Amino acid sequence: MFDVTLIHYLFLSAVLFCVGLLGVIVSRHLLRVLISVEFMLNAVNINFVAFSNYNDLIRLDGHIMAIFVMAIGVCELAIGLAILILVFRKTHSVDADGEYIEEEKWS
Amino acid sequence: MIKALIAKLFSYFSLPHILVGFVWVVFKFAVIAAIMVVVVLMLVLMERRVLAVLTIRKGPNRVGPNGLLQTIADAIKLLFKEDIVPTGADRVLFTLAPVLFFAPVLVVYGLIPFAEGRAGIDSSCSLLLLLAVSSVGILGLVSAGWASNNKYSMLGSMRSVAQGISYELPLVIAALGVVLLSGSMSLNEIVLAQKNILDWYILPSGIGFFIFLTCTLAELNRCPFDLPEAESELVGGYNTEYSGMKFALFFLAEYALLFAYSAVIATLFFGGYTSPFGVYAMGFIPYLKKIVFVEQFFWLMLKTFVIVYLIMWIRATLPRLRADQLMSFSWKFLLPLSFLNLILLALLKYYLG
Amino acid sequence: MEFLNSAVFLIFAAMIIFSSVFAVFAHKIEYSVLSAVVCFLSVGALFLTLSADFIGASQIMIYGVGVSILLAFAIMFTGKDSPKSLYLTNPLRVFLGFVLVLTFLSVLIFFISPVLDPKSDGAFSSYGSFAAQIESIRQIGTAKFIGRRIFCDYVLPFELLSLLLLAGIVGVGYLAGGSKKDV
Repeated sequence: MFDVTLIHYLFLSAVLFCVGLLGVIVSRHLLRVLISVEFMLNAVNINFVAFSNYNDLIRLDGHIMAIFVMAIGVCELAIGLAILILVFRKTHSVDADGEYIEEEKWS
Repeated sequence: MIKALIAKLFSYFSLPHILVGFVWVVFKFAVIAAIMVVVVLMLVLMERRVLAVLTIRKGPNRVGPNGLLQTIADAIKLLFKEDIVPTGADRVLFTLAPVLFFAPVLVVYGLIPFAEGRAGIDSSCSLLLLLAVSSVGILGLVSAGWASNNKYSMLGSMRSVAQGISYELPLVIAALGVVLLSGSMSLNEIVLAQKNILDWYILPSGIGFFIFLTCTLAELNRCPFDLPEAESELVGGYNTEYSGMKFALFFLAEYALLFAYSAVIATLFFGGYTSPFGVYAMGFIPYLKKIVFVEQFFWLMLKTFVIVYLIMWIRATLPRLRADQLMSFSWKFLLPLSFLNLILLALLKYYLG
Repeated sequence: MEFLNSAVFLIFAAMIIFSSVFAVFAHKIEYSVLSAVVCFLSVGALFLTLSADFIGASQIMIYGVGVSILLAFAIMFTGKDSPKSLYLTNPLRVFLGFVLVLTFLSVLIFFISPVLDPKSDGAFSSYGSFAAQIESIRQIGTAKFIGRRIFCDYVLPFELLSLLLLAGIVGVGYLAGGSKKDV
């Protein structure tokens, strides 16, 4: 059909990054915000590895950068989830807007 | 050979030539799925007969000649059972969990080299891919427990997942020892580096074999690590609420994964499809030389079934570990032992080449 | 052959985009996590098509397995007491968010497009004489070369990364481990 070149991967990476950014701005559930941050990191990884594959496959710099980004992203996610659990223990809500409508516990 | 046949068929029926590769891939996976179905059929019956022999009784020997059709009878029974979805359960997740547990098993079957250069997927990182993909099945356990809307299912699935991820670390590090010895992560290369019985990696990496076997038992939720599915402990663990075909999928996936992991152990530590003598019996007969892959397949199956028998023997012999004993065994014993194994193998490789 | 390449790329790109959009706009958080898992696995498959076998397998193992189980456990610990669906923030912020993101996307595409221009890849055309080496790397696999590069040229960032991971483990263990009062 068509030849898959670097530009296609760059477009995909840009769209995934923007979806992640939209998720961070728009979401009300804190966990969804963390998931959207992971989408942004994955988009950046696609970008690095695509450049490495099409322009630079001898030096593999893009692959190494992708490994570092993955490791740092996972570390940040783990700490973010620990903080999320602490926030939930204190306030019993995961609302990014800070409002919490008390539900009927015993009906 | 078969690819040329497909290309000839395509040109005969004047179909587009670009789809030859696609049909070849579909054919490869049809063969792998056929192997998997036959293997699971044999393995379910084999487990019951082996356990019976080891506990001095007779297993199922009524259905069919000597009980050979027992698994088909089991499958038909499970097909006709009622498909229950508990109230309050998340229907989508409930139906999706067995699929999530079963799908990675097919990919794992595609990665095992059954003969020289004849794995379904021949990648240069296939060992790492295999370990990564086989861990995706743990998500199926999480979804099964969560979607069942049942406290015991959730507890069982959380214990199962904790066990699965704790035992994954020593598994990967023990496999890393084999990668160190052979210099490549491709399963085909690892097999080709073990040409005869003196080269088998069980000799330098015996501790690694013990660690890998133990972690395989824990990943498969088998005795002595089958606390999540022990009937007296947690009713049924994550598959309490499942009935009929969904339960059959969990069941089938467990036995298929058992065979796949045994084949991986045979590949990593016992030389895979190579024969212990270094040469193949079919290599001496001139007109059988082209189909040496049949003999290679036979050798792999022999080694795999020996390891499957060993795993079933362990099930019949050892008692079950408690939950905290299980976790401390993994983190406090197996993980430092696997690092020790890695250091020893690195020293061995450095000083003895 | 290029038909299959482009078909595989289109399938995985479609899966990535649809699952990420669904993850952002799903009503229930469990569906959001599951479609995020689909997205991570599709990104891993895309890496495998980019002749990045080690990175692809790492992506499947780290994101597709590890991150997904982390998120699933986070749902289990925080699922029960919160309101039914925390979906989107107030509509003004949603509208402004869409405007901002669409602007940013168009700026990105504007800056990516010159890559299409054949005159502009002068900096990258000097590797054309290494075609044989590149082909051999694609055959042998990238793991050995990545290892060589990390331990010869990038040792310092690697060691700092290990320190960071250690700090992360200790930090998470302390934060989420519960205090002595909970006994």
